[in-house]
Amino acid sequence: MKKKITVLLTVLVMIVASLGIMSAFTGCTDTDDEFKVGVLHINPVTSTSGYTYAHQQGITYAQEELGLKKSQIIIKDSLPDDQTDLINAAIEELIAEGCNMIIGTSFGYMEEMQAYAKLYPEIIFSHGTGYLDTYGEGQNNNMNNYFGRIYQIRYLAGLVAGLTTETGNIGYVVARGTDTAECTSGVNAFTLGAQAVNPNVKVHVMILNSWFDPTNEKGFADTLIEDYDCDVITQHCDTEGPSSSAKAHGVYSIGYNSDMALAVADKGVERDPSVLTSVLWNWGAYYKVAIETAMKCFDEQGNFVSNEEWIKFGNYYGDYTKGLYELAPLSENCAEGAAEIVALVEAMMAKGTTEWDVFTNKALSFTKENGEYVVTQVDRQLKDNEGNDINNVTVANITGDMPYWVAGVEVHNN
Amino acid sequence: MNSSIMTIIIVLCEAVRRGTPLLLGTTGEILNEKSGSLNLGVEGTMAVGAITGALLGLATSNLFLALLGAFVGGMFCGLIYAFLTITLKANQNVTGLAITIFGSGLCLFIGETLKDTKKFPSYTSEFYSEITGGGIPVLKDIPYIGQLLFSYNALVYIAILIALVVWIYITKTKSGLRMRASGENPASADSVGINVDAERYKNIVVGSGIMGLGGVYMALFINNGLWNTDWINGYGWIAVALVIFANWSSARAIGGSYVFGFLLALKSRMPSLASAFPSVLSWSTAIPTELFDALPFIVTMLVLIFSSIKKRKNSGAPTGLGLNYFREER
Repeated sequence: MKKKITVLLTVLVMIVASLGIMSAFTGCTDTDDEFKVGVLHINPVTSTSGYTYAHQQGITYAQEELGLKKSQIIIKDSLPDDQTDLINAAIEELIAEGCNMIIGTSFGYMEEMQAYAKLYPEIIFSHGTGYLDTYGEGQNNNMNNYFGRIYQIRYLAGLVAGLTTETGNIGYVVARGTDTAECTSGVNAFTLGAQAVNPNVKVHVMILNSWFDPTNEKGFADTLIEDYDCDVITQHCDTEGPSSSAKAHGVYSIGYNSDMALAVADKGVERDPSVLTSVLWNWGAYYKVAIETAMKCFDEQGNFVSNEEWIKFGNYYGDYTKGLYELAPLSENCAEGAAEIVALVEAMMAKGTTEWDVFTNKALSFTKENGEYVVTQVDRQLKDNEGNDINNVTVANITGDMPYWVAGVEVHNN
Repeated sequence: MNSSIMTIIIVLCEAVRRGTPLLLGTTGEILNEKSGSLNLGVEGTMAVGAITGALLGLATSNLFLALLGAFVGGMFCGLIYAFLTITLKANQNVTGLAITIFGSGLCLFIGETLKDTKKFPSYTSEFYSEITGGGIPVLKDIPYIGQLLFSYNALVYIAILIALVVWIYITKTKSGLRMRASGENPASADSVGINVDAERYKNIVVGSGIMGLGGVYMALFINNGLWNTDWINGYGWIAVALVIFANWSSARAIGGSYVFGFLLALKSRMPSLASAFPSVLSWSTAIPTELFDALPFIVTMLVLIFSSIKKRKNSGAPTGLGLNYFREER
C-alpha cells in the first residue's frame, strides 16, 4: 500500500511539474473593469526570434505606447493552427476573463475567430494574415483582418540576393505552396526583385507544407545548397534553420520575421555576416492604431458603446509608408551597389504604391550614371512559370488568391 | 546540379545522418527491453539528454563534455524509470509515458527559460565548425567513397561502435546472458542466483544514457545547436518501433536505423532524386510532402502489423518484456 501511494505521488509530482511548466507560459487572470486585450499566439510567447516573437514585440510596443498596464493584456500561446479545440478554449477563456478585444496572430485561427465574432457582437476581433471578417450588411461589423504589403520588402530582399549570388541559383524554403497567397506573393516578389538586377537568376523553391517543421526547415536548405547549387538561401518559415544551414555550408542567407544575423551569430560576434539581411515585420505600427481604435468603441468602465470607429477602421493592409516592416541592416557580404539600389527603391516605395508597384507590367531597371545608380521603369509582360500572362494583380490576389509562381521560379516538390 | 551518382551519395549520407539518433535511441531501448523493461520514455529521455548535453557542450565548447552531459542526463531519466518500475513496481507503460511527458517538459522548460532570459549559450565559431563539419581527414577527400563513408561527425561512428558493442555484450558475453535471462524469465534467473533487479537497473540506466546521446545528436548535429521547441521531433517514438523492426538486435538496428533515416530524409531529398533520375522517379514530384512526413510512421505501422501476423520462431522479443518481477509471487 505504502509503495502504491509512493508510486502515485511520484508520478503525480512529475505530471504536475510538466503541466506547471506549460502553464507558466500562459497569462494571468484579472477581473477589474478596464479595457482588456486578449492575444492568441501560435508559438510560446517567450520565443526570442521568429513569428510569435515579432508579434509579441508589436503587442508590447503598443501596450507601452498606449500606457496600458501589463494586466490589461492577456496572452494565450502555443496554439497550433490545426488544434481547433485548443483555439476555441483559448478564445472562450479570453472572453471569460473579460477581454474587450481579441487579436489572433496566426492564419489558422480565422474560422474560429469569425464564429466567435458572430456570437459576441460587443467584443472587437482582429485577425492577422487571413481573409475573413464580419463586415457588411446584417453582420456584427466587429472583426477585421490585418496584414501588410510585406511583398515590398521581399522585393528589396530579392534585389540584394540577385546582386550577391554568383551561381545564379537562389534557394527559398517556403511553408506553403500555391494554396497560400501569403507565401506565393512573397516568393514572386522576391523573384521579381532578383530578376530586376540579375535577369538569368533562378529561384529554387521547396515547400514544407507545414508552419512548424524545424528539422526540415534546415533539411530543405541543406538540399537546396547541396543539390541545386544555391548560394543564397531565403525563407518563409519560422526557425533559424535555413540561415544556420547556409552558414554551415559557407553560403549566404536572408532571414524572415526576426533578425537572423543575431540568431545565428557566434559567441562574442554581434551580427553574423553570412546573413545578408532579414525581412522584418514591425507589427507594433499596426497594434498601436488597432488597439487605440478599438478602445474608442468602449467607455471608461470597459462597457461597449458602439463599433462605429471599428467599422471606419475596417480591414488593414499596411504598406511601406506605414512603417509596418523593414529590411534589417545589410551585411558586409552584400554585393557592391546593393545598399544604393535598395535605397533607391525604398525611396520609391515611400511615395506609396500609385507610382510603381511590384506586381505590375513595369519592371525596374538600374543603370550607373556618373558613379550614381539611376532607376528607370521599363515595360514588360508579367508571366507565370508556365508561360501564361499575368495581368491586373489586385490586393485581393496578393492576400487571398495567387495560385501561381512567376517565371524564373522552379518548384521542386509539391 | 550534381551527377546522378553524387546525388545518390548525398541522399545516403543524409539517411545516415538522420538515422544515427534513431540508432542510439534504438540501441538504448534494446538494452532496456532485453532485460525485461518496455521503456516508452525514449522521447523524453532523449529530450533530457539533448538539453543537458547541448548546454554543457555550448557552455564549454567541448564535444566530449556534451556527450558526457547527455549520457548523464539520459541516465538520470533511466534512474527515475528504474526506481519506479523495479523498486516500486509501478506499471512500466504508464511510467514510460510519464518519463516522456516529464522529459519533454523539462527540456522545454529549461530551454525556453534560458531563451527568455537571453542566457541560452551561443556557440563559439570553433565549436560551430566542429558540430557542422566533421569527417576523417584525408580519407574523406577520396572521391565518392570518402563522402559516403568518412565524411560524418564523430558521433555517427561512436553510435555504430556502441551498437556493435551492445550486440556483442548481449549475445556473446556471460553478463549478457544473465541480463537476457532476467528479461526472458526472471523467476528462473532468480532461482539460479541472478540478481534480477540489479540486472534490470544496470541495463535501464546505461541504455537510457545511450538514448541521451541520441538526444544530444538531435540538438547539436540535426539542429546545429540552435534552440527550438521541438528538438526530438518524434524520433524517440520511431526508435521504440525500430526495436521491433530490428528484432531486438542492435547489430540489425544499424541497418534499420539508416532505412528509417532514409525515409525521414525523403521529404527534403526526394526532389533531388527525382531530378537525377527523371525517367524513373518523375512521378514523385506529384506526391504531397505531407505524405513524406507520415512515411516513417506508416512503415512503422506496417512493421507492427507484419510482426504480429507472422510470429517468428526466432523472435528476439523477451518473454518477460513489460512484466514487473515480484519475487514474492514466484
